[in-house]
Amino acid sequence: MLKNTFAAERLKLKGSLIWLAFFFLSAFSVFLGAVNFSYNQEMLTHQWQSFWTQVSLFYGNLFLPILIAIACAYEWRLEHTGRNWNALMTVPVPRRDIYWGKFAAVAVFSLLAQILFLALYFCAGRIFRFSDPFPASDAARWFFCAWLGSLAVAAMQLLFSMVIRSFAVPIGLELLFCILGFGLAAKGKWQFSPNSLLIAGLGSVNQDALGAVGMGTFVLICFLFIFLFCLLSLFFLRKRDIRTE
Amino acid sequence: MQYLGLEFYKLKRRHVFLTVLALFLAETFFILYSAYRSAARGGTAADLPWENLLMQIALLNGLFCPFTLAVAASRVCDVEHKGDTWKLLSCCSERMSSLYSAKFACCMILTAAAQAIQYFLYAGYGFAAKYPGAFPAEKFLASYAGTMLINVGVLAVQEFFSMAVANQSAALVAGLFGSFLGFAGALFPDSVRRIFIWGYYTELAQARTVEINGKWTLAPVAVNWEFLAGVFIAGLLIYGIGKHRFAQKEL
Repeated sequence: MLKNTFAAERLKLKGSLIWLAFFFLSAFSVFLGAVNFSYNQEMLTHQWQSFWTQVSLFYGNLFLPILIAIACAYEWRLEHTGRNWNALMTVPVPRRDIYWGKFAAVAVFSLLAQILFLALYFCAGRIFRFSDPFPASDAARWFFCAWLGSLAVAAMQLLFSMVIRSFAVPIGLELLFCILGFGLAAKGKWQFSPNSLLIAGLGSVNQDALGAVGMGTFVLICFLFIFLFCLLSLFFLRKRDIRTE
Repeated sequence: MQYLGLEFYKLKRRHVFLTVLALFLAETFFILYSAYRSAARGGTAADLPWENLLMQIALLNGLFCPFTLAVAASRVCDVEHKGDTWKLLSCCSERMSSLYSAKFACCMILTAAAQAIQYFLYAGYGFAAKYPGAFPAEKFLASYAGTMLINVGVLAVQEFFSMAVANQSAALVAGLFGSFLGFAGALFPDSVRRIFIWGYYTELAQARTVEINGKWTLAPVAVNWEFLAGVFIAGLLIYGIGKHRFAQKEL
């Protein structure tokens, strides 16, 4: 059944052009990071690693979490419209599968966004002709951390987007979480919010943060956040009565 | 006025003002915390705290205003998309251009009220923290008025997106892009920054960091009202074009 709900979510997203936002904002992050890096090459001496801090700075702090929030709000938007909640709740599909179908759709979306971002990073890096080889193991770690961190943000946002019957408000909330997450990550307390986890995982606060993230702790806390928010969402879906427009 | 009243009626129990206020209060908290930290560190920020505060306000307004306006416009306009009320409204003799104007005025009033509260909080904090020197009322008023002038242009863009495209993710991505330009615009050269209306929030800093005898200090800078008037006129133009395009659109 989960396979079917995932296919249904894919259908709902078809033609939504939401991928355009992911592509445009990822490309814009890399472009801006490249411009900034080219102006400050005498200070940013670690080639690929320094370049990563520049391209991921705005991506991790602002663009990626808000794009995830937009994708989550979009996933629930259709259900909030008209009397779709009634239709959704009366189909012979377990509620958990409805939720996991949406979660899987956002997870795939985020995965594609990370692949795109890494490809853009690689292509932009080639332009600078760094003497060091491409840090494949670091890149794999950034990729994995960004994806896992984005899943924690997605779990939180899916809950907000489901509970709040508005498209814009959960996204507005995400901006506040971005600020909070940045503050926590800057102070080294990245364990306390999904957004600060994402920032720390991407290593976009400063160069020293690279490698300082204990992978075990990071993965464990990510799974804890995902588990907590998914559990809350499923509890809400099971216990709360639905309201239609 | 009747249309405007109806817009507020539609927003009843939708907590739109609370949402806008919450976003601006988060900004206020962030700015005041930053001002507190700068004052605690000493140096120029402690010597010229009012100027430092105004500079922080201008920088953070660039980040928060475009996104908050995007959220407000989306909330106000999405009501019609969700209920698919376009044909119903036009059958009730409500002109689409009046609806467009009423929604614009509604968003502007909500934002202006929330930002007025914000500025009172800034002033109150300055007095509570016993900032030295007289309260620069004129500068605060210039900052508030200038922000409203820029908001007109930014809201005109957002309202057009929110009204014309049913998929509100387009409007919010535009808001996110605007926020980014508003915040990071301070890092761009002036000639590049001034291409975008979102980049003008930093014009209201009214102070600039300069190096004098090897020491960094804040130097007062006058607000360039010609630029702001230009942004306001551009905003009115965007609003006019958007309204015309929307009124001509098939329902």
